[in-house]
Amino acid sequence: MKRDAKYEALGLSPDASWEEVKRAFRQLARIYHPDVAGPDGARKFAEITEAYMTLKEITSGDRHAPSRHAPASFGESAGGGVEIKESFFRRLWRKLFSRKRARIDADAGEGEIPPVRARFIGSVISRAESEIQGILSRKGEFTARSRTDAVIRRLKSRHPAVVILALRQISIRSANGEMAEATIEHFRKNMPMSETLEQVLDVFSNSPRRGEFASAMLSHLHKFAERDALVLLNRIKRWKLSREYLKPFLSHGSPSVIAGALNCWPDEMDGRELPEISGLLVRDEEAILVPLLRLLKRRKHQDGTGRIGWLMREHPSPAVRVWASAIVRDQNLS
Amino acid sequence: MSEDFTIGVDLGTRYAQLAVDIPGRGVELIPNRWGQTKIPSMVAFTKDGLVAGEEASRAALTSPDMVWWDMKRHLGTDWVARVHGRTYTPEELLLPLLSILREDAEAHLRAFVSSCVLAVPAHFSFLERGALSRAARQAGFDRVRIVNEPTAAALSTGIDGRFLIIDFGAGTLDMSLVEGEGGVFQVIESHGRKDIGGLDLDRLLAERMCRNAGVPLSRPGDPRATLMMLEAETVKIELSSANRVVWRVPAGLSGGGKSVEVSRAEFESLIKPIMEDILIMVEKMWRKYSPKRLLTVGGSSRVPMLRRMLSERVREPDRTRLRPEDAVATGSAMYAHQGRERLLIDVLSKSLGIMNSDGGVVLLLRKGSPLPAEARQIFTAYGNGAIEVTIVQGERKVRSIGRVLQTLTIDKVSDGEIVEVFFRVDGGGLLHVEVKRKKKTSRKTIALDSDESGVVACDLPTEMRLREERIARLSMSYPDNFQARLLNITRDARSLRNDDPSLQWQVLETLDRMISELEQVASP
Repeated sequence: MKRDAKYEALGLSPDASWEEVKRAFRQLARIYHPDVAGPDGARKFAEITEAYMTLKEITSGDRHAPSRHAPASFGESAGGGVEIKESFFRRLWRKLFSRKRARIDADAGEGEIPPVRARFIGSVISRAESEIQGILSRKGEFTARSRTDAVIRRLKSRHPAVVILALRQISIRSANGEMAEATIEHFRKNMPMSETLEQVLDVFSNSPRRGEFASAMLSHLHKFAERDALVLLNRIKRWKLSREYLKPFLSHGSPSVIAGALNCWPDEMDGRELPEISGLLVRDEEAILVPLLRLLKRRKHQDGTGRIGWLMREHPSPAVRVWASAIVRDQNLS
Repeated sequence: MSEDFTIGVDLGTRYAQLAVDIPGRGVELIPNRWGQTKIPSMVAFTKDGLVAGEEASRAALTSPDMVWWDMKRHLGTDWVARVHGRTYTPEELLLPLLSILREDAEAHLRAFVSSCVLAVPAHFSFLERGALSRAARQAGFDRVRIVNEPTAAALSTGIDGRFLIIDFGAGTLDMSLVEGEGGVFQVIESHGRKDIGGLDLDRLLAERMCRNAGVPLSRPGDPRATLMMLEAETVKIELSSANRVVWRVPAGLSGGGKSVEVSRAEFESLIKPIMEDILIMVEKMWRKYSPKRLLTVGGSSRVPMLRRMLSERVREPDRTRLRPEDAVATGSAMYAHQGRERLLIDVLSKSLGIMNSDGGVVLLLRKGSPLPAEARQIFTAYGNGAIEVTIVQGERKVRSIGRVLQTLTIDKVSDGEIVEVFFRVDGGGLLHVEVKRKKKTSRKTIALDSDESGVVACDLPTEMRLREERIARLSMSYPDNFQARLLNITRDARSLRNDDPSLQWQVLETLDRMISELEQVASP
């Protein structure tokens, strides 16, 4: 009897051969396999696999498959167990249903739910409602968070192309505050790769938080190569950030970077930054001294230490000597 | 959005390969940042931390004691790598490797990649599969599917009829008997050995080369031993097309600059015992099933001796257009679109059962069952306390050779409580275990922490559907306005379907509480 049911599950007659069993199984799998039918097919697929496995023993004559005289424990776990389960479920179901039906009948007899009970049910439902609203308000957080995590993970990559992919995602979503926050945090801790620096800066070009981002970048400035430092300097100049952002460049190792910062230094200076700037007079490089002297001249600097006079007489570069003498002339004129 | 690429990953012992199946364009191999499609499966510890791939293979020559390339063989064991007083598990070592693979795919496809199909040797246990899929999830793959290497290769061939496919890689030998019919590829049986691989051939050859050149053989862990293995690999590959190769001892080894000759006959006499082992396995499968065709894939299948012996004693292997090294990656990429044109049905390679309290074993899923497969077992508690469920895997005589996978402890059961344990093995042989507890009215699911226990939590949509049914049944007796409000609640709960699982759990709890309170008042 049971065996016939298995044949039926595969749509076969009881005299089907092993080859037919396999073919039927595959045809049904093409329809019910969970990868085709989705999770709804799982139950049906389990049925046809079970039929297949049973018929495999019977029809294939495969001595490697467990024979029908397998140990009792095995047979019971395969077949009997299922039946116990089903009967258990059925019992439970009947119990639930009969109780419910009785209740529904009772309710129908009363016509209406008594007010005390109605009030209680109402309060239970409204509590559940408010709890679910609370949970719903956090909806979407997860997807936003996992998005951000995915992007930040890729920013950490050492593969420039992957970083650029991530940056593109950030620029699409630059409005998202959390994403901007996480990105700035990332760059505060990690220095951008030279290959991706321009793209990183592009992302923040139009952002209101570019000042914050620039200061995150400046914390790595001493590790920047000359070319990268100049790229950053140009952006800061274009973004019209205050001179506070220029100061770190004055202590960079490369004279061209210092010169670049001096070249874009605003004319009006307060007294506090003057010593810092004029302190650079001790440097010997022409690249630094020329823009520095030009800046000091515009600022009407007074040569207190005699260094400018010395530069005017002794420095090998004609450009330095010319600018220094211009300052000294101004000083003498006043 | 173009973000739903699923890449196929062949995480070989020696090389990893990536492929992607783009609808309309077919399967293509993904080159890495250096333009190679073969990426060394190596991880090294350098001053920049853990690095993988090409960078690691460069480090192999300078500090070989800080380089690992056999993590896959150690998965699921308690092997650890020690570096500067820190230990790394095989999973942790695989992390940088899987990450660079993902990044290479992202750079090539110009999109984020967050799902993959990982090919594993057919003999991998549930533990090893679980460990690998966990590592992949940590490396940024949100969705991970597992597929067996030989069956992935079978999928890539697309052959109809019964065939035997042999996957001979650097670290493993796997063979599967597959029947293809109308786009359905059904695996009948798979076998694998993890102690036979191309690396073993390299080792034998390296010993002989050293002896021929009069170079002392270095101990494993010595920088020179790694160099020697790489030299042997090169010579082995050359011997596949040449009868004799002149090997010039590199400068790094003692006796550098000397040259010696190695002949193919010499190499073949060395590897004969291994080849005999393989042939015995193949012949056994061949006799049992008498397939129509024979296919060989994997880098080591290029060794001419294997082909010759198979032709003489079994059958001439088919010549396919596919490069043998690419078959697994290609098949894995195709498996990403499983169910569309081709359907692969794998089998459970080892039986699964649980151990009773008296030490006896109840078989739940039998070896050879088509996958996915599921089973459940009901336990009734006698007395209060905890129930322990010991999951074992192995053959029918589980008691003697079975391997204990894991012991689940179900806490705080009360006398007479019924506990249901669901076992589900998915299409790639990953095991999911779920425990359901039923008391009088509430049904609770214990979420097993997937990152700790190697098994993953239950199916949320089903749970949600169960609640909906019960709410619907309850509301039948209520006035219209209550019915409408309950309907709203279920709709809200359903709207979280694609959101954070932890939110969904909270909703389930809220619903459970509401249901039990409503049921109490319904039945005085």
